[in-house]
Amino acid sequence: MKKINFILTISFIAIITSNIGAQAVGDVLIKNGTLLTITKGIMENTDILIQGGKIKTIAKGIVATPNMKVIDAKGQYVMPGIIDAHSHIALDVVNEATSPITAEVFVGDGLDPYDVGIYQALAGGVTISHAMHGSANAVGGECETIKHRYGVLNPDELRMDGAPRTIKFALGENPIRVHGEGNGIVPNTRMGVEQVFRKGFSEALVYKKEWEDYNKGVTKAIPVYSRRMETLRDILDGKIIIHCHSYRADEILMLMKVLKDFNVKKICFQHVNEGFKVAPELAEFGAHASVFADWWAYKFEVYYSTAYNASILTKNGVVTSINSDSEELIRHLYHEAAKTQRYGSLTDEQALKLITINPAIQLGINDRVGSLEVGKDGDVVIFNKHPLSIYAIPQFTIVDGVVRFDLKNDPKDMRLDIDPEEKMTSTYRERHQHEEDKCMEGVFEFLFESNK
Amino acid sequence: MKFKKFLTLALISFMCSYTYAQGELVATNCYFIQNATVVQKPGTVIAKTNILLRDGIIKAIGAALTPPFDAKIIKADSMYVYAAFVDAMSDAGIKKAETRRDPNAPKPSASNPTLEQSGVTPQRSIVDVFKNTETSVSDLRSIGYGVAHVMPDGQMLPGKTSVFTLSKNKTSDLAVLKKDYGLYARFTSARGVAPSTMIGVMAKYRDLFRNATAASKNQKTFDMPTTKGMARPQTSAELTALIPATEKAQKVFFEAPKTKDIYRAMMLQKELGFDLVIAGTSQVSGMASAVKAGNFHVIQTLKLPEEIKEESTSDSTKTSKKKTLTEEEKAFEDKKLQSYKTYVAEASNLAKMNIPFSFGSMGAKTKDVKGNLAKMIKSGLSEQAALSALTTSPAALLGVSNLVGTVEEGKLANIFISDTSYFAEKSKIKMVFVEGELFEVDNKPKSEAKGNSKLDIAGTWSYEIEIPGMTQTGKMTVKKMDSSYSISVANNTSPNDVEQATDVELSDESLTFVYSPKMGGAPIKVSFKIEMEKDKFSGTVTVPQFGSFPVSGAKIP
Repeated sequence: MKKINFILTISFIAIITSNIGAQAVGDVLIKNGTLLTITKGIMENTDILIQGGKIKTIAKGIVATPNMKVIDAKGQYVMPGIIDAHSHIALDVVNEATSPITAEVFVGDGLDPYDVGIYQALAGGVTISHAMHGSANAVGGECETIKHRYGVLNPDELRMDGAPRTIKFALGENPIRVHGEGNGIVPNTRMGVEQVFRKGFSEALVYKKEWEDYNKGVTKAIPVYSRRMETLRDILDGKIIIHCHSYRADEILMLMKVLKDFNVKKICFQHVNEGFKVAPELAEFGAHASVFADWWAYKFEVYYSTAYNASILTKNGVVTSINSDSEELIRHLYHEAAKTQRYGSLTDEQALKLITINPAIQLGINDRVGSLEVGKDGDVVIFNKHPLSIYAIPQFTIVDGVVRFDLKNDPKDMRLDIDPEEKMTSTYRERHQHEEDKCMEGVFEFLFESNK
Repeated sequence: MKFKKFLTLALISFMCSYTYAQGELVATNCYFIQNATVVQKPGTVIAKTNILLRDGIIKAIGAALTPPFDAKIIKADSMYVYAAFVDAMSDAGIKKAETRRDPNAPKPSASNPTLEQSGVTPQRSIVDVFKNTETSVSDLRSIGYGVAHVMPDGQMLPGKTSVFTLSKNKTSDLAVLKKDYGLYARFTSARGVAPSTMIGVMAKYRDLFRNATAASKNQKTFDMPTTKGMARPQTSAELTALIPATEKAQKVFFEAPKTKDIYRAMMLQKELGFDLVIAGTSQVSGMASAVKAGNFHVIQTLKLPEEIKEESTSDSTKTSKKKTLTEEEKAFEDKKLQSYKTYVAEASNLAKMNIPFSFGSMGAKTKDVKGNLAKMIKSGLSEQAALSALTTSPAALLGVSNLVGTVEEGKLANIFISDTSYFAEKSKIKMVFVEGELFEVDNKPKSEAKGNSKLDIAGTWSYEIEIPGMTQTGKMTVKKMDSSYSISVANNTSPNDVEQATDVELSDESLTFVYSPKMGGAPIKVSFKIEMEKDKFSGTVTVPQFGSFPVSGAKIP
């Protein structure tokens, strides 16, 4: 038995490191399933063919060619891969908590393809996640949209090429606690948070003019290069989508006002627990919202919340998604979406949109993923029951036509890199017990370190 | 009469054979190694030949040579002569920088620290810091090394590297072969100030390199006589020190221990365009094809993880121990063994893929080097490839191929004599020559020499860890058990939290153990490494993600 396990492990490692990693796209034919296309209704007993990583055909009775991988999804449900718009998996670093503005850092520099959390997310049907900077700073770092191509060892192969740039902003208690209370600098109140944005944007405009003058030949000396200012300027130029950690209605309105003053339009609020209070204003601005299904009261600012939040926002015309911000919650986002049917009576399609096409819109990737349409990426998950049913369990999760999760056939231990000096057998590693959401990861060490 | 003449001649020649070397009277600086097997360079072996060393140079090699009158003859029948190794990456001769912060100094601004506080000191040179009297130098020399490429100590940009000769008692300006040869770069973040994480460090690199290039250009523009109306460019010592790297005039030795670090170093190289050397890696495999495509030189570490022995299924005495493991644990042990084997096979993988690489000893214990090489060779690395990575490859990397790396006429007299082929299991190095200076190697096992095993460390000790801005104190109780020690540790912040130390190991050099206090919920792994004396100790404490701090303690009577 030990020998078989041994052989399985070796062959698995060999497969992972040689085949799947190198092969970023694949072909697969899924037959006889009930297709939940999200945008074009439900198609019963229909086949879907993915070739070269793209959805090639959706029709009944597609004939398989020899050597093609075929999955029989008879009696099962096929939907687009779930997209999590707020996540911190596959990252070595979450928070550079040293300054209220850290627009110069990029979490994509710290991608960790070895994180078994990616596999666990695949087991929950999630094919894409938005790997984000934490919420320690008013202006955090740039984030990265990643595809869960678990098995690749080169971090570049996790990136979703062509996905728009995004950046993390944070309002409220977190930046206040880290910088005002922690280091005695602005911001120490919500008023301060507003001024951090205004000051940062104003300085970016000055920086922009400095470089324009140099490029036109008005000045001779090359101006100082600052990655921080470059990114702030790119936000002002509309090149980056802001994703802003926020809870209270007053600060949500505040940020929309600031953005209006600086003519910035692309914003998706995150958590936005009091979004239900300002749903019409959010809709009018064109701001999006990515919320928890039912997670609140872990901080004072998260006290005034409701499980009807997602439904209220949806019915007011705000593009809404449900996210996890947790490597545990990401494993059952389909159940989180289902909660909106109990709290708000959303239809099946409205509920499923919250975890597919809507987060895709919020990440600017809806032309490529989020629904089952010919030409889109072959990101698909097959459920044994309807995904909004409490009995649903993902059977296969496919990314770019490559089966990355196979409930029945995958080996038990899916870790890619084992430290030979590791003592723990379990895949549960010592993780810091985060006090509230994962957005504050890494900040405790920083505060402990610098505050004595 | 004839006898008197003979005596006079003998007396004169006897006196001539004494020469002055550096003001010291030495017997001779001329050596004649007789009848040895000379491994001239990897793949070229000359049997039964002689080598003449004089004035620090390999003067001649040949079977027909005869010893000059003033040469000390070394009978080397059945012995092997090799070129002394060149260490591509070392921290020998450097004492770790003191991390004690002045408690009266103003606290550095977390968001706006000085460049030095951020760990950016690329202008620093170690030429005056290197001391060849340090034991690390003699330890390295006694395992066959003659030249070392030494890295400065610090955080993200600790300074410039220099190449030193591992001679004795030379002042540092005489010991240096190449001053400020390369730029040492790391992903280590600063403590408590920006950049405090690896992504902050990457952003800082982008800013620094771009601004260094701009500073250089601005200075050139300003210096042109036709330029009018331009203020004098402001620059700094740090930016000026980075300019050679930005212009590819100086190699950047980027410390990249694991696959992800290599990936990040290569990403920066693609963006910023410097001449990258991947330094001190233990795990190329995941990025091997990208490394090959970029044609980067790799410095592979000689450190290997703790050995995991393969359990032979036929060994019945061992299976009784195995029965207590569950299915899950057995599978895990197999996975660990496979991972361990991958690490051991890394060097042979580099050779198979024709990726140019050298060995670096930094991080490895000198007593483990030969054994680790043997493991790598057993795992598929050829002796020839191993020898190249120890001699000709690092010599070429450091631009000293004309001086060292092979046993050839005209090169420096950097060789060692081994009683048999170096790669034989029980071979011992008898003598090491560095620039013609002879060092006999003492092969007595260290434990007898030190005698520290007699030290009784049982008792109650107080300890003090110096963390910048605070001091963590506590007590530990050491009890002697049958074959090892049991240590229970408490700390004064939460005195009721008494923990048993794990991984306790006492060797002649130090006592190491791991203490995991539960500071506010999650346990923090604190690794102690201390040198024990009769009633006091000192050493370092390492906490993952924080770094290393000095610790000292005294026995409580």
